[in-house]
Amino acid sequence: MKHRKRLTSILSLLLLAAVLLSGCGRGDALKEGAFYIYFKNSTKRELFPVEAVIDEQASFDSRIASVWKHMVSGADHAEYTSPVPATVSLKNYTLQNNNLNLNFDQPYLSLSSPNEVLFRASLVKTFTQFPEIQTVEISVENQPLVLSNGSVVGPMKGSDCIDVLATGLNAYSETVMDLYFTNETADGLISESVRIRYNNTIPLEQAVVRNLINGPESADLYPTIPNDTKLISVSTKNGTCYVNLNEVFLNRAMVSRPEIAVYSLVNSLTEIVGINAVSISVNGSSNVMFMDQFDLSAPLYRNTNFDLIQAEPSESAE
Amino acid sequence: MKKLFNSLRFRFTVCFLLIGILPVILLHVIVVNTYESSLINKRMIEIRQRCNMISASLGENQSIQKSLTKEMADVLNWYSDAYGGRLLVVDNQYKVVHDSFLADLGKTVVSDAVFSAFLGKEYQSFQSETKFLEYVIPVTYNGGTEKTVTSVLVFSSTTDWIQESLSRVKQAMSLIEVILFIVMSVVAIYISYLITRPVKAVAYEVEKLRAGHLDHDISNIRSYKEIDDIMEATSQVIDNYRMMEESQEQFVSNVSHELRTPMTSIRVLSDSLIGQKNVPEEMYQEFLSDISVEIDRESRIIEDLLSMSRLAHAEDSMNVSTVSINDMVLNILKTLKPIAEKRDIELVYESFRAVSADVDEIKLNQAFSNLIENAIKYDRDSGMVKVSLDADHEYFYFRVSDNGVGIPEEALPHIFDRFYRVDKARSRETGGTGLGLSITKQIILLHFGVIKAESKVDEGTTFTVRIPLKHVEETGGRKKS
Repeated sequence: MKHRKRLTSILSLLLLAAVLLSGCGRGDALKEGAFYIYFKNSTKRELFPVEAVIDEQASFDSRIASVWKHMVSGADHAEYTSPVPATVSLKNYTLQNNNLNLNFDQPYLSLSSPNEVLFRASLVKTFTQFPEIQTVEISVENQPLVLSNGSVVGPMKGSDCIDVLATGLNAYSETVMDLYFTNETADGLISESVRIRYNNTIPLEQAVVRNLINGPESADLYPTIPNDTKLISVSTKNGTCYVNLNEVFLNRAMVSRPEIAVYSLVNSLTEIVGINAVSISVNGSSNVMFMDQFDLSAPLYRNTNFDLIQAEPSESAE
Repeated sequence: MKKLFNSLRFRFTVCFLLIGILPVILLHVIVVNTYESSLINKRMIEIRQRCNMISASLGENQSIQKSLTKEMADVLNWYSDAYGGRLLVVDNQYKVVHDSFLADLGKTVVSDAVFSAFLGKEYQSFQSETKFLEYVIPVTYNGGTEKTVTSVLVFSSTTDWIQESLSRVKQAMSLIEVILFIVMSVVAIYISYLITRPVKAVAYEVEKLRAGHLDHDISNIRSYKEIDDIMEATSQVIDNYRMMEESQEQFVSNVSHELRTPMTSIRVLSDSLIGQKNVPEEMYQEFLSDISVEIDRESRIIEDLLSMSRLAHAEDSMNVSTVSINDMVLNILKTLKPIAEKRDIELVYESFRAVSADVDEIKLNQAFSNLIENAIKYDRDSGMVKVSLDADHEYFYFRVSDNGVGIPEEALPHIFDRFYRVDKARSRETGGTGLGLSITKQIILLHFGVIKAESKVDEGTTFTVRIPLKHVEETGGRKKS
């Protein structure tokens, strides 16, 4: 018995150590509000965010200098190295209209392709965390950076650099959408501003419908469709969003007027850029009479006739 | 609680349950995992195939922009729809030139898998925590002097549909498991009851024995073979016990008889003295000396009885030391020489070697004295008593033979029994108590030895004793002969 106890405690210690030593790498959720310096992963060609403590009271220039210094020489860990190529040096920088222009010397142009992109991405993602900076622009010897195909890179936002794979740094996207719910008496639509966080592998439409199914955040608002409705599929083609729900949507209507349920979906989805119409189907078929009154077979367009007043903005996660 | 755990019924029930349930649970886990892997594999293969086809199409032009016509974009979107995933095309400046979700168009990609793809490496993965399928493949343009990678195709999708079908399967299996558990529990409890019922029946019968009904016959109770064996052995133990009780009763009645006999003689003699008037002095002398003899006999019987009872618990009080057996025998012969000379009996002593052994000197002395004394007593006048002593590396051998009246064959097995006398009249004359040989045998046994008697009527008797040289206490000294 004693041996077994000791063994399990050793194992759990090892596990804990492994977890701690793995550090912050790919796929770890970044803490909201913390400042991360984007180093380069030692083994893979990827960015490696490392939390840093920045004195927020210090002046802009001293903060820039401190971060830059870290980026150049602050990598003392086996797992990550400096993203700044040794051949390149920063000549000067300017801040104008929330755009930070970093001016490098000639050797920048000789950087090989993946390394240049990595370097650029680390600069953009690191410096756009400054409250004063919204975009970062690269210049070489005071000339704007140009890609090999001739196009100008221009100012880049932090969100312009992505790791397309599901567990990458940008595995999740966040956006604020207006979702349409109803009130207690279900006689109209009220929009709620919701911050939606969703994985990159699913389209925004899917996140929107999921949030609608889950219901409103605010206690004053009421859902329009049952929360155990299953979203079978959703996709957009040529401006029309095709939403396929399961039979729960049909069988257990939550509102007295079918328009309320239908247009809460349509109006929420047409908020997405590129979607003009919505086609609703149940288990694949849109030849359906919703609540025996509403014909779903034709595409539906945004209808503001049912809109009531707006509710308070709130947050939601996917 | 501990008692419950030790119960056969409880253990059987638990084992039965486990044996019934565990395989099902194992099956459930294996089936679900196998199903999941095979579905995922299949989907992955399909995706790879499609992506390879798409990559071939896109690779027809050196510039990816040229390949990305509206028709091509529609085809790409159709495929990403059909597989419920997202298709991206990344150009050689690492910019997203096609996105079936449209959301990341124009963004810059920083991803190791994509960089590697530009060097020609494919990448595929299935993340078991997030359940995402991913596939990254280069688009190669084969025209011109050499192959160049013009762009990279990235496909990713969730596998919710797999999880959903799996959850149905899982639900069904869980339901089966619950039902099975309930059914098995009931069955297990019932079967364990059936199995332990015969055991309980036996316990009931044995309880009767415990209550004192020792004549209750338990040898016919039929149960499991193992328990039958136990019951048979127990039955024998009880029989032995009852025999012992009987022999004990017999012993008590024997003892009372033996003790009473001298008393009766004394009574008769003293009564006749009391009853007569003017008894002459010689008569007094004669009768009183007879009474004295009877008293001596009584004393001897009582002495022997005490010896016997002390010997019964003597294992604890064995006083073992290394003793020269030769010296001991010589001493005995010296002591008994006068008695032998009285009847002109020759005492011969043969000693083949010097024997030294671990024995209780006092007890063994008593035993050997008894044997030699008997030999003299039952020998003819002018006869011979031969005593010999020998030894090997394990035992020493002590032999006493006489050429006296001998012991009849029927009597031979009983001579070591308490109070057994071949010729009652004879031993009364010689002053025997009937306990001598049984005391001797007991002493030999305490030394883990063996005693044997051979005899022919009118020819003589030989007693042979074998005793181990070393007194082995721990194991009870049972040595193989």
